[in-house]
Amino acid sequence: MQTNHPASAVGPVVSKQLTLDGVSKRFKGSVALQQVCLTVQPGELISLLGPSGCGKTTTLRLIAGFDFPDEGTVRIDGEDISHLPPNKRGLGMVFQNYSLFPHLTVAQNIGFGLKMANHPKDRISSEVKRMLDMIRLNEYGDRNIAQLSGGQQQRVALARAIVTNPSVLLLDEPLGALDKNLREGMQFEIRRLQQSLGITSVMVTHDQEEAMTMSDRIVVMSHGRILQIGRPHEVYDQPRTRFVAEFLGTANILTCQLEQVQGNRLDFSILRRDGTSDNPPVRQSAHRLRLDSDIVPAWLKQGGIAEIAIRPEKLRLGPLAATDAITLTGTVQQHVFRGSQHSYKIEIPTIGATLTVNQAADSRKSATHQPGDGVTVSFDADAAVLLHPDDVAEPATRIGNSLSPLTQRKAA
Amino acid sequence: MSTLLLRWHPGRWGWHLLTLYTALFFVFVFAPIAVVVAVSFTAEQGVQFPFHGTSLQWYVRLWEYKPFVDSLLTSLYLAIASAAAAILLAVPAALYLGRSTGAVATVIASFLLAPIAIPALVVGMSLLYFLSAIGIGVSFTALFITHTIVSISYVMRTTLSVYRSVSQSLGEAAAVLGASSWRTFIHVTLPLIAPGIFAGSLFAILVSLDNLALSYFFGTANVTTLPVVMLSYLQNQFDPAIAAISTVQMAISIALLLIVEKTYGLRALTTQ
Amino acid sequence: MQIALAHSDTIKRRAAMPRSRRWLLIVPALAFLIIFFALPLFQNAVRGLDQQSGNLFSNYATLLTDDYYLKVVVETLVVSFNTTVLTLLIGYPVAYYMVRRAGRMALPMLFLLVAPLLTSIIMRTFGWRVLFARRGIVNEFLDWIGLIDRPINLLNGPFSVYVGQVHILVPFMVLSIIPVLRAVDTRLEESARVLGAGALSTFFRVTLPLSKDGIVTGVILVFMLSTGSFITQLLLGNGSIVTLPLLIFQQFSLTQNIGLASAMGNVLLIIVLTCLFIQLRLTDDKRGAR
Repeated sequence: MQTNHPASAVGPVVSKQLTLDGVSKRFKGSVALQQVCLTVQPGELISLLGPSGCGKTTTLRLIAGFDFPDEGTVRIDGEDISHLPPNKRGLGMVFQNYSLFPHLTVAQNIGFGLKMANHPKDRISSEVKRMLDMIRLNEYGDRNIAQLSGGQQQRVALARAIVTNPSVLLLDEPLGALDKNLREGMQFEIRRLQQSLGITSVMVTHDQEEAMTMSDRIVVMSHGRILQIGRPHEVYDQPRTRFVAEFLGTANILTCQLEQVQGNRLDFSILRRDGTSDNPPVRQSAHRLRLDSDIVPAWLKQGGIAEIAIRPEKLRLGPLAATDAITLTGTVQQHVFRGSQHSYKIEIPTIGATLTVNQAADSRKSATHQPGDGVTVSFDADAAVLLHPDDVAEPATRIGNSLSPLTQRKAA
Repeated sequence: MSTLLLRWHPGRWGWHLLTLYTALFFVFVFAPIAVVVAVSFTAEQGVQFPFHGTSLQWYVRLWEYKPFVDSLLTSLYLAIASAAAAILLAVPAALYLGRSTGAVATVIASFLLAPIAIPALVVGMSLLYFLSAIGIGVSFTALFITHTIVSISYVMRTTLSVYRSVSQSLGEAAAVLGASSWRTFIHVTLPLIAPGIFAGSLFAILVSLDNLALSYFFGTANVTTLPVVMLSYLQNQFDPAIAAISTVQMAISIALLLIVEKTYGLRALTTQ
Repeated sequence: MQIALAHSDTIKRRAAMPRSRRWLLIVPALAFLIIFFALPLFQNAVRGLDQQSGNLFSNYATLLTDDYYLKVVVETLVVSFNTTVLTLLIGYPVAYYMVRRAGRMALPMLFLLVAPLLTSIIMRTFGWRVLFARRGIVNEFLDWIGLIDRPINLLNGPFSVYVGQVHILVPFMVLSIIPVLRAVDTRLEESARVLGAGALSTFFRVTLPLSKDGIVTGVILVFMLSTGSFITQLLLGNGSIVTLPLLIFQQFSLTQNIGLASAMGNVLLIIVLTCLFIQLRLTDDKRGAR
């Protein structure tokens, strides 16, 4: 177990791989995690993203050792740490409210892990000094924690976690307590430090912007399961399920019916919803949509109903040149100006839906539209993403794949 | 008349009345104490207030009257020893209860806090019979056990309260940084709950010093506590020496309070 | 969402220590108290039962039927009740002042309130004996303002006992009321005034009911403490007021009837436990209602 003990702090960092294999956890009868499989590559930062209760915090705590899995294993570079107590795992962790020791100074906080590893005093003080330099708090060593601002405490918490050369760094909503401006600065700071040191990291967050800014890959979770793993733009551009599509940014959801399959082409007709209830009666509209796909998903039969998602920025106001573009006509219901973009809500009577269209704000382009204006909205088939139902089993293999959605595959 | 009363607005003099009342109240509270301190310095032979002439004769008398000095030392020793024993028992209990939930934990907590609620007379009497029955008769050991029972409750009460306010994630942070349970306790938990332990111990010591009802049943010729001696002196001799010993006892209590204040601050005491 | 997150976190948090060994922490204290607290009290309860004569409960029967003992039990309750009412009436205005008007003086005043608890009960009671003595300052003052011609016997009667009791117990009442009164939103009082209520009416209709919890806590606490106390009765009453604890105290050395003494102790215990039970119920009700 020596390799998992906090290593000597000097020397190049050897990045390690973290694997969760079939991890399940139950609490008093309710399932918190079901068969979670995840591989974090050496030096990678991944985010566990999802709403509260999705299991992301449970996952982090299992990796840390505050709880043990009922099934499955947690391994670092192949070594099984699933049932080791937290103080024997050689990890680093930044807590949600920093959890800095209030009775110790900044220097004592940072040096705590080294002290627990019984390093000699002079080694500890030189390492602490190195860390204070790295986080730019050189003169703060003897200060009391209470005298620091939120951002400064953040940096101390980070320094404390990484000074021991942990094999994996865990971050539990590290930026939640900071206000917006500070948060963006700290996002870059943490990312910069993590990359330069090459520490494999797992971050828990409910803020999708934060996840997309900082992560190499994002793990979207819901109800104890992983819905999708991928790089930020993959998960954003090709969401796998409706939940993922709506959790990351906004998505326009259209209901369609599969008319026929011809080779690798799926012909859909867009359905029209009559009424605004949850399950209104649908009828066929006049619009057709053709998607290319490598595989026809098993759950989709001819005549079956599916949902597709389109991002607001992929919808255009005005006609498009492409031949297979879909054009819809509607009326502007609402216009919101957000500085960098105009956001419109447009009601389309032919499909009984209200679409959100975002357009980059550029004063040189055409004038903005007002509520009541008639407009055309168009998009081409590339922009549409076929969504899978939440309960469909993933076709991905067990260990470490990104689960690619089933539309056009773009090169990663 | 009632409508008049309903719309009565006392205005400024109403508040002045309340201020006067409160001032008188505090005079009421301190009068007997001040009187006793004053009387301890009387040059006269009897207890009388007001009096003429001051002298230290009664403090000298304390030295001479052996039971006073002996019982004071016994009481101090007893208070400190029982507080120490209470700490050894109560702190682990607080550590357990502070992170436990559920009905069992609540019951245990109530049980451990019960000794303060039960009249000391009943506790003392019951323990006298019990300890005699098991062979520890009237002795310092018996006194020690009796006072420890009550001290445990005081120490546990404040320690538990402070410990509950210590975030659990601090212990988790220490664990991730490599600290074993024991080292987490020594380096993180203990420093943070120390104010609670001190406050509770102070309470325990002060209560023990003054606890007549609890100690009454265990007095012997050799081993007895100050309150018991004071009571019998009051009933038999009634002279200003009582005032002197009371003042000394008060001075000791104040000194202890100041020690706690200097080391940990009094805020811990007010968090109840 | 932050709040929801924290909630789900606390549900899943467990002690970091291995659960299998944690219970060892509680064993020493628990064992000590069971052996030296619970057991003796239980033994006391059993001792109160009469093993020799036919009737197990003869001792308790005596206490509740014999004129003398019944009088003492009733007197105990009456004195506690009176003391409680007095401390409430005297203490509430002080609490009100400290919360509402003291401002920066509040903390020093709190210290002043608590400081007497540092002194011995015997010292405070002795002080009253000096003050109330025949030629003591109170008598002299009353003479000086012309209320009396000859010194009156203030001691050895209920008056001095109640003064002593109130003096010892009023800090507890004030300390119980203060936190609750502090929590009463002054804007509620202001609303009442804006609606036309006078100061007194506002107090009785808004402030007082809202501070009810503090009053209840203080009342139960003072009642319990008063029931268990006897030093004041002993030193200031000189036999004029005989309560159960005083009786136990006096009779202990005199009587050979251990059973009766134990039974008296148990009756006292039952009264106190009843108070505790009531308090527990009341706080539970409040928590349930939330």
